[in-house]
Amino acid sequence: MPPDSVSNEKLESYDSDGSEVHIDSVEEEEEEEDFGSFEYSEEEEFPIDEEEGEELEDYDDIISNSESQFGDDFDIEPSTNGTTFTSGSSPNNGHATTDSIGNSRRGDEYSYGLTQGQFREESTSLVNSTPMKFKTYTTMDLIDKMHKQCRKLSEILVISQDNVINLLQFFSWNSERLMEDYVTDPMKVRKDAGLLEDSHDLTGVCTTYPKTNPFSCFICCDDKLTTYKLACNHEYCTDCYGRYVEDRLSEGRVIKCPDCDLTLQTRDIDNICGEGSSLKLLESSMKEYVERLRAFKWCPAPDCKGIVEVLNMSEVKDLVNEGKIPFVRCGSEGHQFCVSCLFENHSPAPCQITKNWITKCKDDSETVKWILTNTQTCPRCETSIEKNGGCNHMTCKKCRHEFCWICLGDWKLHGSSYYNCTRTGTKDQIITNENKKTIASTKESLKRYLHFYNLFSVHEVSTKLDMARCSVVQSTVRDLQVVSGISWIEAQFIADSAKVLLSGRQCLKWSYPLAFYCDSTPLLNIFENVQAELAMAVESLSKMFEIEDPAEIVEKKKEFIDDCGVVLLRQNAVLSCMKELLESKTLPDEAFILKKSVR
Amino acid sequence: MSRVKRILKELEDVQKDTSASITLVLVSESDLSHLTGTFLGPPDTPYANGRFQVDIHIPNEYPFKPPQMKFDTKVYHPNISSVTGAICLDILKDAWTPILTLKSSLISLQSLLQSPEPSDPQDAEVAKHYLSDLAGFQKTAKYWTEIYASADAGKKNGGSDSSKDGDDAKLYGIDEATVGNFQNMGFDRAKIIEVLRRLGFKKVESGEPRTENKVIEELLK
Ligand SMILES: [Zn+2]
Ligand SMILES: [Zn+2]
Ligand SMILES: [Zn+2]
Ligand SMILES: [Zn+2]
Ligand SMILES: [Zn+2]
Ligand SMILES: [Zn+2]
Repeated sequence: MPPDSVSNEKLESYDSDGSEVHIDSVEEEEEEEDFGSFEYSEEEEFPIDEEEGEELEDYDDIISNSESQFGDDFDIEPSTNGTTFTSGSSPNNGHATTDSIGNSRRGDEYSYGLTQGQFREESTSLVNSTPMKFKTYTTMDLIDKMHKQCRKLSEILVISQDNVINLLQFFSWNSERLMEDYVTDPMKVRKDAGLLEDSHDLTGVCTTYPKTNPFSCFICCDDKLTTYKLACNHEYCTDCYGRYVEDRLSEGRVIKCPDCDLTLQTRDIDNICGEGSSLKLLESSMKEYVERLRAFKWCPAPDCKGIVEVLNMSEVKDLVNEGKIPFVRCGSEGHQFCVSCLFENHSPAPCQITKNWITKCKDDSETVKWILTNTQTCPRCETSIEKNGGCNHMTCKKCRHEFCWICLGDWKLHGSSYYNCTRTGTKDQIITNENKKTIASTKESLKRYLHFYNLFSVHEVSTKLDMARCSVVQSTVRDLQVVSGISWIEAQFIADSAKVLLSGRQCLKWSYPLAFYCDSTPLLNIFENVQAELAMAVESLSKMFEIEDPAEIVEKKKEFIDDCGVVLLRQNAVLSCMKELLESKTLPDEAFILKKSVR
Repeated sequence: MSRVKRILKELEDVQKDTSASITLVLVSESDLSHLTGTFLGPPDTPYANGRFQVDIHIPNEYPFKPPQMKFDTKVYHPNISSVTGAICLDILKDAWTPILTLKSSLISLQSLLQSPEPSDPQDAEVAKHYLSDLAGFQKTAKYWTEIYASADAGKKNGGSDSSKDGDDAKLYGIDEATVGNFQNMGFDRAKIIEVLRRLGFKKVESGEPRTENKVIEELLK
């Protein structure tokens, strides 16, 4: 019997073709290397339908695919265990929401040159993240799973569960290798793992000394009355032993006697540090355990302990090759992440570009100290200004000078309809295919990278500020509901606007890595123009969220909705242009060769 | 406080040992957390006859956390930074356990000098030298021992004094004739040595125009 199947009943149950976990693992390994043949697959065109519901669904689709930023708390529906999502039929969260904006959208006039038909048609086929089937787990669920595996192995190998825990920790939870090695030479395995060679389980001894003849502890050089020792007779006072073990509980590895290779067992750990301490060690070794299970992924959000089991892991490779982003949402907090990159949902940038970009940022972060602080001095009067919202359109409180956070240039020079700052600059800065090799790794290319990195991280910082703003505004409106009796539906526009803002900001942020890996072509110029327009729209909407007075917010409902409409239209323009960019294959190979260090 | 007792006991134990291959003293009588240790270079190595001084800081969590040690004496060794004296040794990091002592740590440093671990280097330049040209490495290490760790160098405490031509090249194991060649082309001596170190060349044969051009290219920047 393949040992992994011992613990993977759940995995077996969903694989329709009866093949076991191993299939998944093999495929995942291939995935690491096989990025050569990237093609953006033609998606099915969504049928153009004149029904009203259709439009609502499109709108909903964009929103439901946009709740990507960690920590957002805007009415994300709680993820249901094992809920099956499929592309095209998005989960209908907040119908009332959609109605309120959808209706007003239809009622308003638009002058963006795009018909609503175009908007509808593109929105469904362009969003390139694909929800995966998944189950969520808590730490305790996993501990149960670990114990179950230990029980089974203990029956098979005819040794105590304590021993199994030690052995598995020693083998980094590779139960297959443990079984093989143990069956071949149990004595050697026991010795290597620091267990006594006969399988009798000797627990350590706790000794109490009389006051008249205390124990002199080597570690603290003090006279003590209670001690602990394993079968090796290396004896230390319980204070020192406790401290020693405590320090190692979070390291997830077997704990050895301070002076030799003999391993402390579960009962020793509980004896020394108190009941339940060994559970802490088990929990800290869970990281290695989860890494063994290919379909299990830790939520990458900072400080989140959520674990997700991807039920259709075998589809990940194809999705990634199609330029789709396979994403899941970790349990309670609604964190959305890509299971291929193990990074926040990075739509619209495909996984390959994301992985390269992240690696590049990591590699360059040491040499390039581009630390973006949250304070800046006004370029005119040098008053220090704190950036307290996501908007990059700054107005100095002292001299009323308006400037751009990114380039510190006069905001007015950016033009009212044109957000110049996203542009790559002069033609000679752009790397073309012909001279690419010659000037690679020169100052110019670093400058080019920094330009994009700067834009990327400015929007990353802005995202956090946007999120903070949005949540404040939301609670303000909630207060208003209570005080002035505005209906819940009436007030929903603010939550919708927040979603649109964050979605637009995410799209904008991840469009820069994409542009970075593109050659200079007329298409890239167009892309940068639509990017610039989106940036303009996002900053404008972000600025709206700086309004603090609830009454004014309600008053400006129409402006919020108008701004949202502009963001959505321009976001779609970016997505459609991005699709063309990917199809035109002007992307240099570099973007698709994964560096080994990505893992 | 047990930490104080432990440190005092360790000091006493080392001072009782009269063989004097290892010494341990407080830097200032009032501060138990800052010590200086010394030990003799192992015989039959490039470090023989040298006395190496180590700066020791003892953290508050001692002996549950390892002491922080770095070489005060300049040492030419793959696992010791030739610039800062920082040490790459497992027992001073993860492998530390509270039954190890300052004395046993110093003995471990002594055996580190005896058996370098170039696969896990602290100083990449030195490690490369060790792996590519062992004899050349040993020559340089011995030279460093003589000028930095010998009995009379001890008083100067490792102050680098390379005013004399030849010393600076020798210090980094760089071939004097190679430096001379580039000097004849009109380049500055210090710059030549800096570039050769940066590129990792100890010697450039006149029959290797490609290597030579690479050095010249760097020198012209
Ligand atoms: Zn003790
Ligand atoms: Zn022992
Ligand atoms: Zn999470
Ligand atoms: Zn991805
Ligand atoms: Zn000003
Ligand atoms: Zn600007």
